[in-house]
Amino acid sequence: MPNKPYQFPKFEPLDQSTMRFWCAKTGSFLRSFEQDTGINDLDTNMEVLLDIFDRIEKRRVYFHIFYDGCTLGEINEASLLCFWIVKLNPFSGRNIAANLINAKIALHFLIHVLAYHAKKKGKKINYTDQIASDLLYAFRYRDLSKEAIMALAEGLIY
Amino acid sequence: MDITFSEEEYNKYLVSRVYPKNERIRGEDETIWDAAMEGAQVLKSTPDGCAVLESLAKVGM
Repeated sequence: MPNKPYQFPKFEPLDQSTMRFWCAKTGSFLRSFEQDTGINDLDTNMEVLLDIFDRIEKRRVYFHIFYDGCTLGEINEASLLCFWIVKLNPFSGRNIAANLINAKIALHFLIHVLAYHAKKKGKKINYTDQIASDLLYAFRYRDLSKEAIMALAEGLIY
Repeated sequence: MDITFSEEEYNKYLVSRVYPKNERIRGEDETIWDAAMEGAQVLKSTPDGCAVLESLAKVGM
């Protein structure tokens, strides 16, 4: 049974077609974000976005190896993506601070995934203007760790 | 001092290797963005959901 670092394989770079597919999906979501918020002309730093995809896939492997073959659930994956968006700020917009636009995109995205998950589980999301405002602040100033966002997100479904 | 453990303590260690709840609905090869887009449809389908979208658009602006 592998327990030594050298007994595990190295994580290989992700292939271009997979990256392009994820970029296209990200673009679709951003267009939806632009329509919903009226914030247009978003730009993406591709180097940072590809780095985020890479980090999430590494975390997926981490879950599998260190959590007894566990898959990465949607809530944890969404939380992880939020963490990297607010930390690395891959998106930018005109006349809006980088940390604000990235926090807004991360919050928008997280609430959408929670709405999806809640619907599938026959539950609801605990959303108020105040919760949104507090989360946006925490995202904007990067107050939350990966695990904190995961735990918080899980608690927003009831 | 000697530090050691009993069989019972080792078994407790094994049992304690419990991880946080981590449920996945879609397949692992499906993107999280698809779940988010489906979430958009969920939100747009109810008045409460539309209110959430309005609130999200305004927050921080």
